[in-house]
Amino acid sequence: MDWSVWFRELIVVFNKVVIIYFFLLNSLYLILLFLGLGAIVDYFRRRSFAGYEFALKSKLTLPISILVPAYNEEKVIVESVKSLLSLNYPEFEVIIINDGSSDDTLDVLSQEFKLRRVDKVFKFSILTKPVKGIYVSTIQENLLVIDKENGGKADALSAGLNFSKFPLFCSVDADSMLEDEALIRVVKPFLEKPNEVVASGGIIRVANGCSVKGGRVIEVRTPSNYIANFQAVEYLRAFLAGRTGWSALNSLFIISGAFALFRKDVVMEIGGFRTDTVTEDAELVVHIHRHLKEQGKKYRILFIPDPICWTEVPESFRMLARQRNRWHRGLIETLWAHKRMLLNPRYGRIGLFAMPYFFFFEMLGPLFEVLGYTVILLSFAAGILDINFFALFFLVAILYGVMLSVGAILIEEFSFSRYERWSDIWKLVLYSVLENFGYRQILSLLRSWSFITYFRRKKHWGHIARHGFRAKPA
Amino acid sequence: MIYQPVIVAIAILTLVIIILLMALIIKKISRDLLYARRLWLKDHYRTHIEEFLSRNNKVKLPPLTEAESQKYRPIIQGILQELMKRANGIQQRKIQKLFESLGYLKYHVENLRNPKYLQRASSAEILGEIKSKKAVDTLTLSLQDPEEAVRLTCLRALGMIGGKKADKALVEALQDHDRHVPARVAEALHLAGLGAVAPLINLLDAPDHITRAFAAQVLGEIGDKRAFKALVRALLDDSVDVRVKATASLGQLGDRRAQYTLEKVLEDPEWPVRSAAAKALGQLKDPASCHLLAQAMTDPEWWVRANAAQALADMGKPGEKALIKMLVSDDRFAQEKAAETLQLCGAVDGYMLQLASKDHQQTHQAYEALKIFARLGIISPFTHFLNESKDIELRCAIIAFLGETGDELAYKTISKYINDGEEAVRETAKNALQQIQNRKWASIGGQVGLERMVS
Repeated sequence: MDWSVWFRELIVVFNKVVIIYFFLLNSLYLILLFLGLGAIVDYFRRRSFAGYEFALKSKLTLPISILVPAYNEEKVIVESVKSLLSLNYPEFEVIIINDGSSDDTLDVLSQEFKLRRVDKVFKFSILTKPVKGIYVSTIQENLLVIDKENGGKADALSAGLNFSKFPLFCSVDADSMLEDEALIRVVKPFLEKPNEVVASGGIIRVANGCSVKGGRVIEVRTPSNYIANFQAVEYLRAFLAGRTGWSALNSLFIISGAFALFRKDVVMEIGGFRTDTVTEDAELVVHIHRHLKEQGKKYRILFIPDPICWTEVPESFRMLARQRNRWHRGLIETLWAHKRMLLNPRYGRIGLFAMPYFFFFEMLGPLFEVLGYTVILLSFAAGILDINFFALFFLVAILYGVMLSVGAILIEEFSFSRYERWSDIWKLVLYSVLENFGYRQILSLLRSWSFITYFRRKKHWGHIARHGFRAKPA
Repeated sequence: MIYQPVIVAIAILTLVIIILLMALIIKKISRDLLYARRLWLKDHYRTHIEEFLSRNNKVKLPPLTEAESQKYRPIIQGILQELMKRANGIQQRKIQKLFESLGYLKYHVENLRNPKYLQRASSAEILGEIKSKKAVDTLTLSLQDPEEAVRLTCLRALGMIGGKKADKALVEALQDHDRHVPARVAEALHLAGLGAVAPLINLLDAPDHITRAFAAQVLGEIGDKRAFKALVRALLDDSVDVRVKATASLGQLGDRRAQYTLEKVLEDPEWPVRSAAAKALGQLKDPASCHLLAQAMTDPEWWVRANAAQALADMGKPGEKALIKMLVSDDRFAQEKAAETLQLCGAVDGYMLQLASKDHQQTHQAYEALKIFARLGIISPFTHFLNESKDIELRCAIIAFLGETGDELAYKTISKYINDGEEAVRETAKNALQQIQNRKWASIGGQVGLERMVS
């Protein structure tokens, strides 16, 4: 057989495989979107008599330790801490862990909250990098600041765990702000099913563009930066369709470390946060699943769609690349560390559905997408790209994707309706179309690159440059 | 062609999205219009109802026509719920009567059997907020509802209504772990308040330990002294959980009669009980317990030691004295914990202020206490005070003190003040540094002398 004919045949077959891949991937997203929609509708109905006011007054509502690891966060840390301290919750403590910042994170905290160094004795349950100093606030009784040597985010969280005194702990990123009622909403499942629920997470939304005052988002707007807008659409899709859907299937695989609540005893049982991974939050959740499934215990890990955590997202491609590289590398590390769960019936839905999805679509997906785009371009260059085939590819890969993003925006608008202005809604719809023409492809490339960095095993905080939250103009 | 179904499916989906987008536009526009109308209606009927409630009790006619009251039921009952929250006894009874006369009580009691669980839960919530005693029987029956949200709402409603019947239903629910989360029933019982004390005391003899533990906890939260004897008896329970909760509740009651018993509990074989006892003794604030709490600071379990130290800090002056004694303890943890607690409770600041006192006895007392800190190498409170205080005399006193007692760490701290803006502070700092230098040389000299003698 002629080689060129054989090569052409191969490309045609591969193109078909690419179409099937995109169709399967987007159909899975669609199923998750419908599941998520159902879960959100049900959640909203129940929320009206969830008894939040009652729980806020109750002395039996579980107290929470909020752990905030911080590394070079001088621009945003004060607003974040203010937002945390003014949360509407009966009893909580805020523990900031300054992980060897080279900027003035500790100094700005010290000035704002009148910190005072104390020689505190603590229960050293998890081994961490040395603690240099412990500070209490002279104006906020429930604020504690730990200054330690740099050891990474997981190490900082473990240090925070050593100092925490309550049975539940909530990890919150230093560049994030929680809404007033976020804590009481995220803790609700723990109050309703105290023996089953081991972790819950809330929604992360993009704060860029929003007006902030006193650590609170007072006006929700879309970002002015185009990269941040793409991420606003991405976050809505990932949380409202993806995580809500997986949570409805009781197969939630990831809870964002930017805002997650855990039962401390369960986390201590598995030895706390692993320091040999760059995404300790994802690893922790998978580790909890594995541990509890192996123990044969009945448990639940949930995503709650309305406790909102506002976060600042990267506004430059360089920072975005760094962040996504870290996330994808973390996913590879986590899946590889727990590979025995893959397609293993012992781990139930997690092993049979969630794990294969994350393995084949989330982890290997970017490689496949990049290869797919390349081959289609090659076939076009070689003049063997059938116009019908291209139209179908466009429909399945691009239009289908656009519809899913618009679907997520619609869920947001029908349920939460946080964007008040029509201009913001149309902007999001526009970006959900535009993201399929370049942004998505670049992300696939960035995520593919992380396979290389994974083998280099380079570890860092994956820090992004902060601009600080925008105060509302007077 | 195999592609056709795919194209059709995606076309349908696109159409659905477009329809939804249109629906969104309509929703947003109509929402604003409806909101304005609702607001107007609410204001209108609120005035009407408030006027009716402010009139004499004898006026029995409802302020609305039957047709109005049925048509605008959600708005009117919302107004009644809001008014109920801030009404006093007589006003509450008036609101309840109005609620009943408008036919809402009957409607919601019947609605508790609605096939839709959301409807049932919503009615239970409204009945609870209106505190309608006539709904207790139906709400009690609804505690068996298959839907958890309804059961939880009924629990809260019964807690809000209170009274013997409601309390009885809640006490029974506390023992039904298959249907109810004990902590949530306990919350409702807490809400019921004093009326629930007697049945809760009986529950301390319940067969299962979870019920007994929650009963003990709620008795502490309610804080009624009638529970005292029963809680003391519960300290002998076989279950650790029950003993822990009973101990904590005795602390919350604040009855000093419990002091001797709680001191005995410090010897319990289980550390969670000892830890709770230490905390409870701190709440009683009886200085006689100080020596036992000081001993508890050397307990093998971390939480007992930590709670004992905190309890001593809560005691005030007598506790501080015990903590100062613990600074020279052989137990390193007790020593460090005592130092930390003294800093956190502000005692160290107090001693530093005393250093500059004119009263010799006070100065001596402060000097002796702070000397132990300096010996332990705890310099941070001194540094903090020197940075914060504007009082020259006091700063000089602290620097002089560090010069007399401190080591290399103190040397570093004092060094910062040799260029201070105040001459007195500069001079004191120089002298203090000299003192530390002299001691160091004397120590080295002594060491060399000793080595020569040995050789």
